[in-house]
Amino acid sequence: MLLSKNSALESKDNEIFEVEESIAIQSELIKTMTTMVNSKAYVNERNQMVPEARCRKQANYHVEQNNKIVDEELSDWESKFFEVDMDDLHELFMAANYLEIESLLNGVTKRVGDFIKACKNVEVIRQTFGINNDFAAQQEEEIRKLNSWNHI
Amino acid sequence: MDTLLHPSTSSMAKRPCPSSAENPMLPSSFSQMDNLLLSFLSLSDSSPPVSLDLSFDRLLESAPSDADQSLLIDRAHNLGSLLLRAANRSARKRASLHNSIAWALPPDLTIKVFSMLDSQSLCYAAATCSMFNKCAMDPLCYANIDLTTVVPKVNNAVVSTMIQRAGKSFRSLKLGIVPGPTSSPGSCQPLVYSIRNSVDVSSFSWNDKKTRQGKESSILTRSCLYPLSGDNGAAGTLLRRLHLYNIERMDNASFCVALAACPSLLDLEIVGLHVELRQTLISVSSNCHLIERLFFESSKTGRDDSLKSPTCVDLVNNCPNISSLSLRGFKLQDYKVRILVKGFRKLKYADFSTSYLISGTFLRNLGSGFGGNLLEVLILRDCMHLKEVEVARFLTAVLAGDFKFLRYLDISNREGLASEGDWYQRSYNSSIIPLKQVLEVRPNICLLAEFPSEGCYIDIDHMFDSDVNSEISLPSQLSSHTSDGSLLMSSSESSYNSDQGSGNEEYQVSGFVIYEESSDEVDFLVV
Repeated sequence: MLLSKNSALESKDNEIFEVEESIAIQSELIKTMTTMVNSKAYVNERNQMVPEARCRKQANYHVEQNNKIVDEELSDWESKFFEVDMDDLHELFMAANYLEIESLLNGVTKRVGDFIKACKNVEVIRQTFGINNDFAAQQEEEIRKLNSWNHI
Repeated sequence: MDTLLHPSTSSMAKRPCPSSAENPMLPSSFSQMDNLLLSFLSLSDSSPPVSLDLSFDRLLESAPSDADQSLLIDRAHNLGSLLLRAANRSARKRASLHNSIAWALPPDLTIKVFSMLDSQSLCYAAATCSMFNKCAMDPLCYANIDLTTVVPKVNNAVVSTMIQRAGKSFRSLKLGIVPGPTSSPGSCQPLVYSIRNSVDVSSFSWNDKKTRQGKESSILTRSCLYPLSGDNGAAGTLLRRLHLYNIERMDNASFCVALAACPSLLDLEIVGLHVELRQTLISVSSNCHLIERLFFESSKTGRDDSLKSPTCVDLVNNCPNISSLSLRGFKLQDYKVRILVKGFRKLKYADFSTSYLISGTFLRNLGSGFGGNLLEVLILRDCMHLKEVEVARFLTAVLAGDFKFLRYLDISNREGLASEGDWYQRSYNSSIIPLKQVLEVRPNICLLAEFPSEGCYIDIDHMFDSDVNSEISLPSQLSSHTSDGSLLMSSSESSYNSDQGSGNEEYQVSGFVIYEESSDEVDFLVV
């Protein structure tokens, strides 16, 4: 692993991460900020708005591993990485969205999608995600008609 | 509104009205109405439970006239329903608020999640709550519409609605009946599905009842693809992939109209449609010049012999990008297949499983020069007339260095390969096919050569019984074979020289046979 320039990134809760620059650039946001600063001597970003330190770490870890592993191992590793509960997933989602890391975002999106697919009908979706039915009676009737082929 | 209340205020004067002075929690901006409502609502909490209907009865009794009684009742109805509506509306608002907290993703991310869902899950999600419903209407969610089901339940309206919702994001459409989630189009099992063969009978009969209720509304008809042509073919122009399975009512005319609306089509897969091969290929070569993958499985195995050489030539000329070609279950002559395999310069994947009439001569002299040399996958499974001598010739060419990119070959045949002279005679233990050598010289090739065990006598009649969908009668098959045999002799190119193998004798592979352990289990010869 070539030791290129390291960026120091500070998160909202004031933890500083040393990250290899090539990895940091995977985040579109950081990339933009870096090019804006345009400094050759150092790349030292203060990233005040970033959420929880933990998901930053996870994001970095993911990105780093992304660079190392071959395809088959990667898919195994990814499925384990995303086997977290909804709260963690949500944090990952927010982090990936804010930092604009596309691969991480895709992974989390797919995982949440799999959660929904695993639900076999509407009630199970509601239970899984703690969602209430807020349809008016008329709306509900329309939806039932439209989805009669699906036997909802 | 207030005027309605004034008379009733007087009749309710018996009840104490809490004013703002008594209850300091109330904002002073509360109107008289608000106070009234508050005190009325607090009735349901009072400790000796209030009996509203007794109270109402007393009111009615004390009403001076019959007209006054009707008025009271009307007012009770009005106010009651107003209150109910207000309560429901507020409950929904609160539920929505709760939902937006419980599901904390912003709409754009929600839409992103939904775009990963299959169409059925998407519809479930849309029926969950209003926020999901709104997100699920986004065109991005309908880019890849997959309405394939195990039993018939989709109708034309559903297809039309989804295509409409897709808008400019429309890319892929899969429609029809696919038996079970385990079978995939890539496998060599025939996909043609007949309602009569439905495995899951219990659920199907329930659907059947629904069908009768909706007057056959859960069937796709031949006009199910009309939305592709609608609005000047707006939807069809965007379509890249179209997969259709076992749509009983589809016919040639409607299908060709649909194809005419899809000039950008890259991937076309048709299984079990009652459309003629020739007409379909003509339509493809007229309209879909960008097409890269063509997968066509006949609904009447072995009975469609409509393909003609001019059709092949046109297809090859008009659709040069085809890299994957599968024609399964048709009557194909070698010289026509040769036009196709030689003509598609980019052909990598060729599957002619369950084809009738091809004997393998189309493979001669193919792998070196133009055409055929890019071939990576060749599947000739269960081709009844495939001759072992042609397979041997082909494998010899492979050994000699042709077909450099070949990595997968399937020549399995449940009836064994045809012997040289008479296709009745089957060969189960092919000594002239240099299987072992090929595996040594080209170890990266995955070679499937399953044949039934030696000595098991297969009745000719049994051969036809085993194919449920085909009704080939014996005499016509024989005659067409012989007539085509003579055609083959005359029209095949003068390529008898190079591949004729004195080399064949060298590669005597005696013990290299695949035996069936049981009727269903077969050992794969896989490298």
